[in-house]
Amino acid sequence: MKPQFEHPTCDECRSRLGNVFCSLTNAQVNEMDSEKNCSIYKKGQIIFNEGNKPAGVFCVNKGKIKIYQTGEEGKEQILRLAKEGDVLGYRSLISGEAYSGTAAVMEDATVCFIPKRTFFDFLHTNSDLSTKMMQLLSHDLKEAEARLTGLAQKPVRERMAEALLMLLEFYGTDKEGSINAAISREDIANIVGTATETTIRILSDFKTEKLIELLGKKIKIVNHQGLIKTAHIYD
Amino acid sequence: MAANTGLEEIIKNYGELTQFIFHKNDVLFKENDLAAGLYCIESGSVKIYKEEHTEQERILHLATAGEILGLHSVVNTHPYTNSAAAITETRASFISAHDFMELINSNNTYKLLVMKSLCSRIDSMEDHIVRISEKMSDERFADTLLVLVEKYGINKTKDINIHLSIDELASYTCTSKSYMKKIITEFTHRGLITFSSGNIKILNLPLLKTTAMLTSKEFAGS
Repeated sequence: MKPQFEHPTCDECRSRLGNVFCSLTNAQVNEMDSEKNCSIYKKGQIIFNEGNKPAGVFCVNKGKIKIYQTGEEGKEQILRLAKEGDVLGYRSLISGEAYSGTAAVMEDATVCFIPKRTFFDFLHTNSDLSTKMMQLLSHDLKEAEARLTGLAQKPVRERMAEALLMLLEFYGTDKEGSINAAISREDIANIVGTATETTIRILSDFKTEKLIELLGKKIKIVNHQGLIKTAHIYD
Repeated sequence: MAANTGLEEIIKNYGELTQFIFHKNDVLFKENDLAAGLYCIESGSVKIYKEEHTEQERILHLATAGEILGLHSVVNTHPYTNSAAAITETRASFISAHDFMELINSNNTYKLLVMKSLCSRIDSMEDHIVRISEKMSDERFADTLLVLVEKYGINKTKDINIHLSIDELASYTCTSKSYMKKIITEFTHRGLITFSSGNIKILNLPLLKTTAMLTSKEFAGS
């Protein structure tokens, strides 16, 4: 018999409670439940492609996802990372433009799709949701500004330290105390905005300086204070 | 690029606006100040920047007529996340944070316009992020010039309709002042531009476009 994939229900979805959809009414939660489609994505699969037109928003029930833009030479620049509870693709949907980035799975994910019509219907009728969306976008803009400032002003070594701290904050730690994500060196390079070889070299420098430990793909931060100092974060 | 979302009209139709005229280098608001309200630019141009630890400023965005400043800080009721200063004589109308929130809370479709306005700002910010992480300084400068041409236009004598100092150009291109001077000299030698006291003359637009397209083999970092 084919194993059945059990669709997560919005009502019980703990991811929903942490995101903008927590402001939906019970009736709207039921409506979303009946309108949505859920899929399992394997590592490396694409959820949406840069340049395509959005047909709805994606809500991450489980897994880890990167959103990146591909440059003229085919190099990825990772703009954002997403995990359970995050909503994806809302910006293109709201602005009515094509996706400005591609979303690809970094760790196996369960993602639900909410059609455009349902999403806009909620936005128009639920003022709490529209306020939350407005706040979310304001937050995104603030993050993008900070990202731009960091990228422009800091040398690559400092940015690497900052990226590791960001990953730690974003994903937390596993039982061994490593950052809870098996993230490739190439992905780290694309977050920092540098070459993969440089990433490998700096990580190895950090290891020599006893700031981190490298356990296969996993990274363990052993000297948190030292890394903060390296990142030159003052605030 | 000023995205016309219709939000400006709604704000302008709201009665109690204060009109301001800012001269070059006048500060509209400072990073970390309490977000008192929003400015809608009617004419002129404003640089949006962050101060850095090195007392250098980093220009994030050049805003022109039709754009709204301070929006995300007002919506999320946190202090301004950046500073804004006029780079040419600028006329702007001001609406207080309280009045603005009351206005948009009165109609759910207004909130959608706020969202659209925020989306277009994030898009341009992310384009900028990709640009600086991918390109070498000289390509980025060629890019900067193309952005300025598109934003402000060129007059009959091929001058860009905005004056920016070397500091400002370096800041917007994300490079150092000394390197900026070097690139300007190089561009002048190649017959792409001339630069004198803030005035940029575009001599060879097609070649400038090719320069901006040239992608680097090495990374644009460190």
